[in-house]
Amino acid sequence: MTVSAVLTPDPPDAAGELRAFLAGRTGDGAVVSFVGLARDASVQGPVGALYLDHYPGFTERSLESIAAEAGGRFPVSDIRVMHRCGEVAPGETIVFVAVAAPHRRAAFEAADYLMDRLKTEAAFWKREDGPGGSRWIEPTEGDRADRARWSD
Amino acid sequence: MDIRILLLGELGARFGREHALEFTEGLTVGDLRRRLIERLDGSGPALSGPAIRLAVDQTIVPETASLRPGQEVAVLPIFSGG
Repeated sequence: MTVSAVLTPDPPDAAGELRAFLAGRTGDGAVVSFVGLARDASVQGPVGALYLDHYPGFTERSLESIAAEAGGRFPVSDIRVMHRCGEVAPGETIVFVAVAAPHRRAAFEAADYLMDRLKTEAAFWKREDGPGGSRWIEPTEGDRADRARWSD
Repeated sequence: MDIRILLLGELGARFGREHALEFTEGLTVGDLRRRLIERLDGSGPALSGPAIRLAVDQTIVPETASLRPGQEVAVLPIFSGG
């Protein structure tokens, strides 16, 4: 199994990543990918940009450990996670996740699990910048409820 | 050697991201937090909240952890997630 999780200040090329992830894959019957995009509005109002602050080294390890735990929990073959840091404009990719598995259910579930954990436990501090100023945000109740679905 | 301090997220935006405090014998992470609050006007409520975690050289530690000269302490507000 290859589990890879990387942090990048540049927008990931989601289509290119997926193509590379699919290439030469003959033993798996399923690949599930997810692309998270920055939106131009939140419940608080318009969003001109997002900023993801991170703690160099520590944040990378939080991504790696979430990806590794997904690999240990589901019968999957490979996992790829790419996550942005820094300034993110609306429409840009914040996160790319791909999971390959012999069978689809494990791939769907592992991707779902990865995203629920990344949304609550990845070591980021997120700021939304809008016309009314900037606000630092925390996981929503919905994010926490999604995460709680996977509690043992 | 000093202890280097890093404030992440909103704490860094409000009180400055990087700080340094002088190492003294027997210094714990909890002591360091108290000294930082004394140094940074108005930071008490924000830096002492129960959701704040402290990391020494990239590992989260309890308040009672001892420090050595030259170490880095990061003050981590609740993670927003990605």
